[in-house]
Amino acid sequence: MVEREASGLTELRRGVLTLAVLSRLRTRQYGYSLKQALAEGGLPVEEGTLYPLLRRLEAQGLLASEWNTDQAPRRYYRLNGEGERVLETLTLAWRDQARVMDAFLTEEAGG
Amino acid sequence: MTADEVIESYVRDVGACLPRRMRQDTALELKALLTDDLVAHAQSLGLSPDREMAIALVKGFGRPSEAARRYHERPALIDAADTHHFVIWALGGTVALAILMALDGRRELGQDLFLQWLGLLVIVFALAAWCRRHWPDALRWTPRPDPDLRSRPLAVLACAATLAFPVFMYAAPETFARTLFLGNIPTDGLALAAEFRQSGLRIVTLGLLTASALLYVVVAVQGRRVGWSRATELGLTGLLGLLFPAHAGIAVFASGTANSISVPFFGLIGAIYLLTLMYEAWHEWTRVSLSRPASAKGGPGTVPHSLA
Repeated sequence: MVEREASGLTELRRGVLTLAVLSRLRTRQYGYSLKQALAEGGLPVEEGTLYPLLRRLEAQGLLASEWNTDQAPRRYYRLNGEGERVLETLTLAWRDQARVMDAFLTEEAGG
Repeated sequence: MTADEVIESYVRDVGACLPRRMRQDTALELKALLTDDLVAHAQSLGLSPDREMAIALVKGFGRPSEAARRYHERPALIDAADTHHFVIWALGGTVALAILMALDGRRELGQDLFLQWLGLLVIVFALAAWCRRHWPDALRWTPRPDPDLRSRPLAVLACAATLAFPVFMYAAPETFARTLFLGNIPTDGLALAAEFRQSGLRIVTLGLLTASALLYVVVAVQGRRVGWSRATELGLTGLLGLLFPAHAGIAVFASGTANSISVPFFGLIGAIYLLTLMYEAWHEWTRVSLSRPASAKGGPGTVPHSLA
């Protein structure tokens, strides 16, 4: 993939990363397990981007977190009530955007 | 150094760049996450984690200060959007100071002025960025009229003012001072030296000053500055900026006292002309033509629509 294509793909992924992370945090996850879940779902993310994002979402009041020290100490994250509400709003917005983009791209392909 | 020690070293450096309230918790979590990543990566290779693997992993996170910035964004001291203007002001100020120092006959300006200028710029730009963050409406952009438009009455006034000062003052300083002060102060010291009165330097300078005044008449007739009048103004300003400092090296006045007093003033006037030249030249350099696209060399369809 040429550099500008890779750059474009990175920009696209960055735009949807918050929504993807919120969607995966309906179940409790820690940083590495979330990274794996995203990668297995087809959205590989750099650790350096993902882990600070979790902190920011928590600071925005969308996530609850707790330390689990039963084995290796890990911090687990999960959507809280506000996070679920925001996820719902963003999901609707995403579907709307996807519909608009589909229309643009279909029109483009049809000439 | 073991892999654990590499990670701990990295996490310590990241933590040192974070605010105290989030330092401990973030560092602990980062250490856990890096360890998880390292173990998973080693397992995928069928190896045990080692120092090289740990170093490669933390390199992927970037410098500790970069990693810390992703956890806690700090505003730039000077807005990235202001970099262009900062560089222009820094370079422009440096050149202006160099001109002032070159024309400073008494050597009163020290080289520390350069550092003081840069320090002042940093403070001013940082304050502007701080104000914009706290009051987004402050220092907002506002539209300005076409910089080449000139008020005709003002252009006529500028012509008259230039003829009085500096043309009249330069041509006959003694008469100028007598007129200005209504003959209430002695003006004998301002008598020109006979040799200077006939010198080519005086004639050329007087001609250029008069031409500067007449240029205002042209601008008053046209109602705006156009390409050739701007170029002429630049040329006149540059030549006067070179000629005035040249007066400092000769006996302009008959009185030796008047000559010694006037030396720094000739340098100062020259510096003002050269700084004006620099400012106007910068405006010419940044000028954009809104009449046609840069790639078009004329022809139909190249003039953009005007917005009503």
